[in-house]
Amino acid sequence: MAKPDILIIGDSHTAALVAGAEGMGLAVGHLYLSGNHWHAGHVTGHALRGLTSGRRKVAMAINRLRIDAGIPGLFVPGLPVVASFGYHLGRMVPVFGIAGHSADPATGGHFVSRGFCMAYARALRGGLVDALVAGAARAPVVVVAPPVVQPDATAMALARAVTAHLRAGGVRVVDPRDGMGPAGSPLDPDLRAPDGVHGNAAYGLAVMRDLAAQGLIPGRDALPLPAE
Amino acid sequence: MVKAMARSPNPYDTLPPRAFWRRAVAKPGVAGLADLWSSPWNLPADARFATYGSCFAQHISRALRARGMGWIDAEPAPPRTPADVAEAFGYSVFSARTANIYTAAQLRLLLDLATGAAIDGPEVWDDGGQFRCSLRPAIEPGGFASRDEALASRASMIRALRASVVHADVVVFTLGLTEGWVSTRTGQPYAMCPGTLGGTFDAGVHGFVNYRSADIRADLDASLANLRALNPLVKLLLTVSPVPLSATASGDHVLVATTRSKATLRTVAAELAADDAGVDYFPSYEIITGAPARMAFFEDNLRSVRPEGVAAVMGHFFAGLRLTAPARHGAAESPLRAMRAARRAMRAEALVCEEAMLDGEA
Repeated sequence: MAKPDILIIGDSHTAALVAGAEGMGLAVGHLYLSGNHWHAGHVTGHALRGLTSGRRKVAMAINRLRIDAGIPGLFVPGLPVVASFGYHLGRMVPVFGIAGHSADPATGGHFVSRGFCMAYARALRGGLVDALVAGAARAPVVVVAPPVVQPDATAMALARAVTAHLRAGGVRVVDPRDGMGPAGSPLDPDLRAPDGVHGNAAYGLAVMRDLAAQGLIPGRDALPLPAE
Repeated sequence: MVKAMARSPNPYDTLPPRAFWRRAVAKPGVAGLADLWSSPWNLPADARFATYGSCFAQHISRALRARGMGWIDAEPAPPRTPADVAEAFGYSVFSARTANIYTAAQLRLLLDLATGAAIDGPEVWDDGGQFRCSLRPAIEPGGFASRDEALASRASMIRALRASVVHADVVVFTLGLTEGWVSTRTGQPYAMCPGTLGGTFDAGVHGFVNYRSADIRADLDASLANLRALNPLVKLLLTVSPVPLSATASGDHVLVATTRSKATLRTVAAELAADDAGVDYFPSYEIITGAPARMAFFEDNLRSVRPEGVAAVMGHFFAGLRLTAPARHGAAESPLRAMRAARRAMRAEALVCEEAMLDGEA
């Protein structure tokens, strides 16, 4: 692998980000692990390697990226990391709501407060948040929160809780929920992958251009413009 | 030599052993106490219990849950909530997230809300951007984000309280205190003195009250009417918490105030049980504080009840229950069983006792 311009690490949402980054001509080091692994706590922070896992295949995937990129750990100074892990809403939200809990008081179910969502997110995602906080202390890390795919107050509240924990730890987060109302505005259909729940390459490109415009990753000034 | 007095036949001749202190208490001792309580009700085999009240009521919740009995958890935590988070937010402590209900006046207020009173009537306190529900100021460790959120949570709790009563065969309520604080403007009783767990104390607005037996009886009568409005068949099982007052604002010594408080509650409970066939009294107070226990059921602080004491109380409770009527809840029980199974997976948690905050204990 050529020395990467950036690392993109996360779950299925990395696909769009990788497509976008490559569309900008960036050399990408990519670590994709199923959301199941992140959700189930199979991945944890590591002081030297950045991330590690007790699962052999997961650990091998982490080490492969590290070795291919020629770096001692996934979070090193000067190598931007775009992360899309720590949320995994598709695995958290449905279970959360199975007994009628909702952040939307209009549902008439068991209303949950913002404070509870914060505590719940911390309990279920604290290990990943801590790994990102530790990583952001060593490397330029930006977390890209997953896009909003349907207006749902509970998903919105839990996602915002994860974002708040990350920002409290000093991690830069690009969250499309910023400035949105309680239920949020769903991702434009033109920017959706065929499965309807992920962003597509156009979405990824828009996100990566935005990161570049903010100076969070190498951008137009340093790289050739992609063919439109 | 004293000549034995002549005895003629009298009512005491035919009383059972349990009526005599020497045979029923002194001789068997605390471990041998038997026949202390027997439920007057023939409850269904799958009877459902809703539990509310002061700190000690949490033991009853937990014991019912641990035995796999029909404890109603009408407002459970979301699945996968860790036990410490659930406890911190008051989930699965009582049958709804009421937090501790120390006085009969509080119970009445909550049941008034459950039967139609305006949800936004009781105060919400703005503690510098953290909003506290005056009915349960510690239910959210960091307070609510807004008044609307506090009211939404209150409405959710009230729905769960209502559901728990509707589906219960027995509501177990543990009376805790006679002392409380009210708004002198509206008459609203507070869960705790404003300023202790939320709100700001204002001597011009917040008044101390040491409820008299007639007040408590009126509040319990109204509560019973509310319970029956929701569920005409529901039974009310009263207990009195053996936990002493953490602090008193009565001006009396706290030991004297405790005795006054508990004696008053005990008396009202006995009289209500005597007057209404749908009400009974379970003697948890006597088991813990009675002479046979020699105070051995209290921790070193002479306030918290030791696990052995809780076990003794619940042993008598389960021994006296009569779950002999046919099951009546049928298939509808299964979701409750599922919820109970989830709750059993949670580790035993520490009791949540806001009143101890008065002495800086908790």
